[in-house]
Amino acid sequence: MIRSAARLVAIVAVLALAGCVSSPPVPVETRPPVVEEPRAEPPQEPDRTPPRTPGTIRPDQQTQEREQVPSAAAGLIAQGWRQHNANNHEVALSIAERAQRIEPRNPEVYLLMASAQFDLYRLDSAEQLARRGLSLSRSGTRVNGQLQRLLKRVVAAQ
Amino acid sequence: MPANLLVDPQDPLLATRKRAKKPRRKTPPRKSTFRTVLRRGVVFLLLVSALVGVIGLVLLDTFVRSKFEGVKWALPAHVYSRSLEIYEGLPLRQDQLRWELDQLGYRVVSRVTGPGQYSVNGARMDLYTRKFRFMDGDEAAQAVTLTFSGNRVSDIVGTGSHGTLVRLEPMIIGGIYPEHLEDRVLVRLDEVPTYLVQGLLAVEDQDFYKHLGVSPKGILRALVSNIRAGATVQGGSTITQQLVKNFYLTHERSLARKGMEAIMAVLLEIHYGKDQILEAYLNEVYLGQAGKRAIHGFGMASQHLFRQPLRELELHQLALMVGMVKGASYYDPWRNPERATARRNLVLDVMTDQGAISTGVAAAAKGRGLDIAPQPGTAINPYPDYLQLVREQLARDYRQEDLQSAGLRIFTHLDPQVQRQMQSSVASVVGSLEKGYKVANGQLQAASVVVRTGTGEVLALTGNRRAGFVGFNRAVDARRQVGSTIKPAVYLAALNQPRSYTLGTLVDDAPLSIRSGGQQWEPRNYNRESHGLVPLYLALGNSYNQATARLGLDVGLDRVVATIRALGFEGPMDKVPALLLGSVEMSPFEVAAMYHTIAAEGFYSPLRTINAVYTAEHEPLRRYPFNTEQRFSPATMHLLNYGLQVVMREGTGRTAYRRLPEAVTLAGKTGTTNDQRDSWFAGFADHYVGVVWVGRDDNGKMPFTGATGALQVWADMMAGLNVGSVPFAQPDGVEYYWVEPATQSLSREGCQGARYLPYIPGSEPTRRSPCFQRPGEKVIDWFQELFGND
Repeated sequence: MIRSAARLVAIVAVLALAGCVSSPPVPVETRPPVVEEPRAEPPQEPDRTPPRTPGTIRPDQQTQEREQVPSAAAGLIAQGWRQHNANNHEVALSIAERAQRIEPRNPEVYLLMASAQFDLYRLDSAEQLARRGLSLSRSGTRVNGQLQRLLKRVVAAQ
Repeated sequence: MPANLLVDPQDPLLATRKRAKKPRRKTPPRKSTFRTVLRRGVVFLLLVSALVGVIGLVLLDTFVRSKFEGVKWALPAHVYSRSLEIYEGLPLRQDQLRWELDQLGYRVVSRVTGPGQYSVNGARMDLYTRKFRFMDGDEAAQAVTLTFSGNRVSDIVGTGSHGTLVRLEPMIIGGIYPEHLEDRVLVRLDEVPTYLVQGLLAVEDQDFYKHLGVSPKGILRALVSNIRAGATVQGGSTITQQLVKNFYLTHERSLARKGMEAIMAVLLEIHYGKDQILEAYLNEVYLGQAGKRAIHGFGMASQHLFRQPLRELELHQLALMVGMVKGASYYDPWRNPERATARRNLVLDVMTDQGAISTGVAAAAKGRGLDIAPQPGTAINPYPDYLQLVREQLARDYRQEDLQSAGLRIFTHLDPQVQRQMQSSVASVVGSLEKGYKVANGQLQAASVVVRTGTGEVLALTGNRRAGFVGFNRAVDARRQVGSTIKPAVYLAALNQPRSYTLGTLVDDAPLSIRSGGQQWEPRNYNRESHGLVPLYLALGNSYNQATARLGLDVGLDRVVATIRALGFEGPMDKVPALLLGSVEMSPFEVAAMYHTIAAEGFYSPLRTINAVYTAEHEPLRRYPFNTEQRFSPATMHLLNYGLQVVMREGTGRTAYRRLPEAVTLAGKTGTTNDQRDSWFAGFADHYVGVVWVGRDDNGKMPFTGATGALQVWADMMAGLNVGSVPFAQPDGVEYYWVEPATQSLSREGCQGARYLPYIPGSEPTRRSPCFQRPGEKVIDWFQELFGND
């Protein structure tokens, strides 16, 4: 009975105080937002952020938020897909490697490479390239889904 | 003698015969016999000579035809660099691009009108690229305008279909030559500028299209011309004779050889067309010397003298080459520019006399300078250490004789910009180390490797502090103890077991002593101090030997060895405790392979020097594609990369920031062996993994460490390459927490001793530090206690 009364008083007190007390800022852990479809965007200027002080090494924010594709790499990837679709897989691979030199962390590059290797029936290569692409893409993105599906097909074919 | 008995001595016939016989035995008949014999002998000899002549002629004819129709020349394999791709955002300074264009023989002009030219106007550059056949298709020549902003290409406007992407042709960086060291690039007659053919025929053989290999008229005309000019301006030999002399015969000066030359010239003319003969001549003629390498043919001479393809050369350049046919050494334009200019002008005069060019055109050409490129070095290959690696890789797939004669075109990943920066940094910083530490001049040696992160492409390599020095390739063949450069493998082996080890796990840095191989092993820290319990990331960052040895022994040598193998090292390795502190011997190339796996977030890729091989006819023969294999999870590698960033921000690698901007995130590890006999650094930035070794060939002691030696070379190199930050995206399967390593508890930003560390979920501390409690959380706890869970 006493406990119930105390509960009631406490609730009333909290409700009364809620309107006039603002809580102090608290540290918030950064969560990566859901990544949107990759888009061709203009290149960014080099990072000019102030120096990081010791003890505050943090993961990149920009790369988490979007998968940038400089237009030069995007153009090459599109060209590579055209060659791939025309069954010119070696040429497609050669073009994909050019895109890789420009944008080595673009998962679409590895999707193209893995697809070409898969069609050439080089299954081990295709699997590893798909895994590399997955390691560079965030869950929930279109390219991540495509890589997952390709990997399943590769594994099933082995 | 019954036969005699049958003969009647009175027989008139017998008497007549006797009579008839008698005079023959006298002197006149004897003369007649001699003549007959002589005549017969002469006839016989003539017949034999004719027969021998015919046989000889047939053999000669066969010889002439077989050599002309078969493979005419042993063509060297030419090795090319990577081709520079220019796109918006590319980190490339204008001066770097200008250097590359100059190496490729592009001409600076005031207004760009054709391929192989560029003009500069402040931050703007107009560039007309050359066409080139690549593995994935032909790249057409295109005119573009590039704008530079800061250290980058900020804008590209082009007329071609690609617009935003411009690809330059690769640079020739060396070759694999036949034993006679003849170098040539074959050209087809239809590719050769008209002025070259006109000049050549005007000076060397005006009746080329009229005679049958030998031209008496030409000899007379040459004689008259030479008398008139007061010098030898024309030769008497036809182009066909010259070809025969160079192609089939020796340079011996004798009547017999001259006769043979004439016969063979006629034979050649009988079998082949004039254009075939002229094309062979254009490719055969000797036009200079580059060290031991002999320059043959106008295709190679064009590259050698002007660094330009033949089709781009102008009249004054073509006339110079025509003039050099008479004596490539005598008219060498680098050694004898006045003589070469006079000869060139004489060629232009002869061309004018022949009506090939007008007086005005000749005068304009005479007004030009020689326009030759800077004199090439005498080295056969300017990047011998890189070329050695290329050869080793090629040797697995091709026979040596094919490499030396089939004219293969080998496209490598060598990046001349990176190689140039590497050579400059190695030479200058190692020199400064000698000066600064008062080491005897020339005592220090160095080796370095740079690999493109993620692709495994070897961009640059040097095995000597002196650029272009042919000798022991320390980058590949010198295996030295790696010291603390091995430590990332020990920490990776630990972090691969997240249930047991995290970056915040405390390791004891107290001295330890164990029995190993019948001896006592007692590793000590570099500064001879112990640091008590230290978190893993700090032990790595500060390269504590005692903590690392204890950690490695706890993890197990088997696991550490397996980790080193998984990182890509295939060489011999003793499974002993000293391995944990880098007793294993590796070459810089092998260290680069391991660190590439780390930089590529656990994906191993074999390091590659060759991109593709083409035939002499520009057809793709073989590609060396990118391959990769996942060896570690991206989450574990993220933790290790965090530790390697600690090395650079707070640990032994922090002096790199004296040369590099603070805003750039770097990762790497220093290494120093016992008595400071080896100074190592291996690390990476955005696109490059670099390894540097500095040491002495006699394995002597040095007065500096990995941090004060090799790291300085590395940092200078990376600063020159304008590197960006290491990509450090948080992968799936990693969460960051504020923790207090000292108490192994969760904490908050701003709390004393709090550190923001990445964890594999489930491995983070569960205990909460007093500071972890947020304002009001105590009240919430009170409420929870009050309300319970009901």
